[in-house]
Amino acid sequence: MSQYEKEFVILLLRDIYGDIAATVVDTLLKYGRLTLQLISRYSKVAPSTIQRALVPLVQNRFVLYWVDDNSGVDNATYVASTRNMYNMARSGAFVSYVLDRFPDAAGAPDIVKNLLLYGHIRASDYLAAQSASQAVMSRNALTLLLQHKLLTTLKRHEFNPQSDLYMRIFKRRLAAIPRSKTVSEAKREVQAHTEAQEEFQVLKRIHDDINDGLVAAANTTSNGTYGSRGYPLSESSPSKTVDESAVLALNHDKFAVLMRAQILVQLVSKRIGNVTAAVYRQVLDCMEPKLFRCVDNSDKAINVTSLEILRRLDADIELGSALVVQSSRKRSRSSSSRISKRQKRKHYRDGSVSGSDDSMPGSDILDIDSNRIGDDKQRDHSDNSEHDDDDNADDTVVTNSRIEHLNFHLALLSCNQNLPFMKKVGNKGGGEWTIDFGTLTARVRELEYDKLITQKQGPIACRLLRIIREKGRIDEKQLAQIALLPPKDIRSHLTALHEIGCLDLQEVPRGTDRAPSRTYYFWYHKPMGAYALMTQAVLKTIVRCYARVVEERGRRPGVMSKLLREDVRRDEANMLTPAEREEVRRVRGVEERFIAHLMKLDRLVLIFRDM
Amino acid sequence: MPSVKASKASGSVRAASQPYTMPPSPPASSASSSGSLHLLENLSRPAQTLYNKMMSSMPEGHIYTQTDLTDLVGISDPLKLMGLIQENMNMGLVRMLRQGDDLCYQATKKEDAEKIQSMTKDEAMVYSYIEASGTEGIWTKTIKAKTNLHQSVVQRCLKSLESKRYIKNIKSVKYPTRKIYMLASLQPSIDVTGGPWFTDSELDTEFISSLLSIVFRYIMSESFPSEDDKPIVPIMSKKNNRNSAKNKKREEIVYDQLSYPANYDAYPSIAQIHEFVQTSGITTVDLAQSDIKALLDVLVYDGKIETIDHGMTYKAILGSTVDDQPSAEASEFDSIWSYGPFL
Repeated sequence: MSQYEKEFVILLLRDIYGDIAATVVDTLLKYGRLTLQLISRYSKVAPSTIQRALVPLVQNRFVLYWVDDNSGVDNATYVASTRNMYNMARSGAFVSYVLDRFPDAAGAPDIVKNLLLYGHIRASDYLAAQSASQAVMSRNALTLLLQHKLLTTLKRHEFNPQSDLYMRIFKRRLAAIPRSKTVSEAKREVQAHTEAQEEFQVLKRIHDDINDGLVAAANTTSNGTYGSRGYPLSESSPSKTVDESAVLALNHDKFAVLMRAQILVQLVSKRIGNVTAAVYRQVLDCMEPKLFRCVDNSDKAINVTSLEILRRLDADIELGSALVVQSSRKRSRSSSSRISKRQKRKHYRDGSVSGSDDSMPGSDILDIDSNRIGDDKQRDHSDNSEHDDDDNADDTVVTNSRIEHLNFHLALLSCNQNLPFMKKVGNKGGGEWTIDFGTLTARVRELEYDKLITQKQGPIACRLLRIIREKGRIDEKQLAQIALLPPKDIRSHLTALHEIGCLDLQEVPRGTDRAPSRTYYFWYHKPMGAYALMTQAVLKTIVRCYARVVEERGRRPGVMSKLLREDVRRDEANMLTPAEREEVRRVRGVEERFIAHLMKLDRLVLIFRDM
Repeated sequence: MPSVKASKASGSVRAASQPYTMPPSPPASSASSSGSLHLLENLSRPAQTLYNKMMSSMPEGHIYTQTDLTDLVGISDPLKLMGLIQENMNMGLVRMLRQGDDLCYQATKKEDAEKIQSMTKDEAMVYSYIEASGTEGIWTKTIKAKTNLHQSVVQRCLKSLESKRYIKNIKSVKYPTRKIYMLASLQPSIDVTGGPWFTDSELDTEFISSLLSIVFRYIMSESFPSEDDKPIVPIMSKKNNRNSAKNKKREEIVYDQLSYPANYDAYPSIAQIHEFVQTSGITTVDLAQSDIKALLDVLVYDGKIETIDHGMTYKAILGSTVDDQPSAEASEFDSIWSYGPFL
């Protein structure tokens, strides 16, 4: 929790929930855990006012409360949760994502908007507030969002701070372990911690169940067929519907996973190409139901098979378009010493293109005879009924070449050791693949950091940073030698990087006297520290951006307050004078630009902090 | 190979035991052949035989021990042998070296001996140190310390030696302020010149950056298929029509991707890039493979290329540009930061 993050959430709260809510949270962030009386004392606001302000804050889980087992309700303590408040900044992206992803589910964006406003909603309440026809639509949308885990159910304990929950579990566990003379107290505690951590982990993953918030549908309403990517949602059977008694909230963890997928796909499109990016999107889509959060996901690795990917892949995507056939130009050029190599390559490229031999080691799929694929398809028929009309029996040849093409792209994704988008782990189902998100995201962070350094400090600084990163610790002389730069030129770059916290300097004295002339100076780069500082800088920029938005509105109090009137809201075109309309348009233009910047900056926060 | 160096002893022996008055010889360049004859004529016949045998039996610069010499000329009496050696040494035709604890001998060329004979005592001494320093060169201060001569004497010697083109002044990359001398006939070592990247002992950044961009362009051209490499197009137009309605919301994919397969193994290796640079005639500087490797490393660190096959071959990274001009993306980022503080 940083200064700038605090500043930002308070700005957001002041803008959306008003001054008192902002003051309450400000006090909580300043003093830490407080009771109602203490908040009142420190903030100099009457307790009854604070109570009213706390309601929406607790509803949205911006403020978490805790009532100790031994004390009464009056002694409830409150803790502000910056992370939950920060998620407000992603609300716009959330709504637009839902709009993009589920264009057919009409009620979905409204549900997200409402949840952003109220924090959490009981499904039955939401449905009851709507007319009958709307309710059917909303029910389907709710089911769909729950199936995609964009909504999650909320349990009572999720309004409590995690540290308190953990301590409660720990105390219970500790009490359960009997005291004995043979076991030391420290050992007891360690055991209790281990047990408590396990139980806590289970508690954290309570919503990972596939049918979380869903119950079996009473009748066969046609929900669960909303897969916008042209495939049904096979993970949960279509006969499920939303559990009306469930309390629902937005699942920001899952949203971060989806945003991460978008970032990765963009990177593939930049590094390899658009077609491969489309394939990669599909791979991530296949894995998505098993990915609940970016870090600390389930323990077992998630694998997908080529056939699974192929089944879901849009038939529109022309996988073969990215393949290369041999060129006449290259052949004429092969007259030099490369001749033998070139010819060898040409030879097997011919082979792989026609699919007649198995010389493509990256894609053993060519070995698989069509019977096997046929078998798989037969099996798929049972659990996948909608897609089959695409795959007629005479399409087998097309599918075969298509899976070759698919494996071409998958091999491309997995071949780069420097940026391993995915990894091959087996040959089941035409090739079994997994993604090592830990390694990949670390690499993405590196790339993003390098990009920022290049933008801000220039390409030379970035070159130096990369050398230092690879070599670990290195002194200036060697650095200049490797970078092929004059030693006097690199000093300024290094100090600039040092200033922004990207590099650190270590002194190693050669003798006991520690004289500067007899000392080695080694530069090194600590990624975690550097990223944290970068995140702070980004958050600071976010704060300034948002403050500017608020300021821009504040400069035109007249027209802005008029805009808040109900009647003006309903009919802006007629209720405003032309001059006012022009002013509103200008303010909104400025606002839009800053909010767009905010989204770009939030992407960096996601990469460096949440991914 | 054991370290052999012209020992201080040999220098002092020669310097101290020069009863021989310097012949008033003309400059070496004008009469080297007659001078060398002259030198040999001053020797006794057995001494001449010893010198000729030392020069002819082994390749030039061979180091003889005393036993070797005994075998060579068949004189077993050490005193007699020493006399012959001393005679040669007086003429500067044989040098005494020390290898470990043993004394050994080396024949020098007549021309070199003539050169030394033509010098004054001081010049010869200075010259011997400069010669001993080999391709590394020697700092004037070191000469002064080793010879124990006065500064002005050393300066005078250096000046006269330089004017005779026996030695030359070089610039060291490591110590740009020092005056360093070495034999005129030698090429300074890489330690002194700094290798191909240095021109006049300064890092030639323009040369490097132009080479970097050329190498990058070459790798780029080899890394991606060109438009001539026609893609295999299994266009399924009927399916397009069928699914278009369903996917109208999805963004269209621009089919501009052309990729070699993952197992493509004809990306350029260091040897190929080296060959390209050598044959293209971009530079007259002789670049070794290790120099090319240094260039490639820099490109890797610049994020423009990456290594494939565990560093055996290189491939350009898509989207990287040759020059360091800010790309469109850069300006986008600039605008992000322009609205707020950044560190």
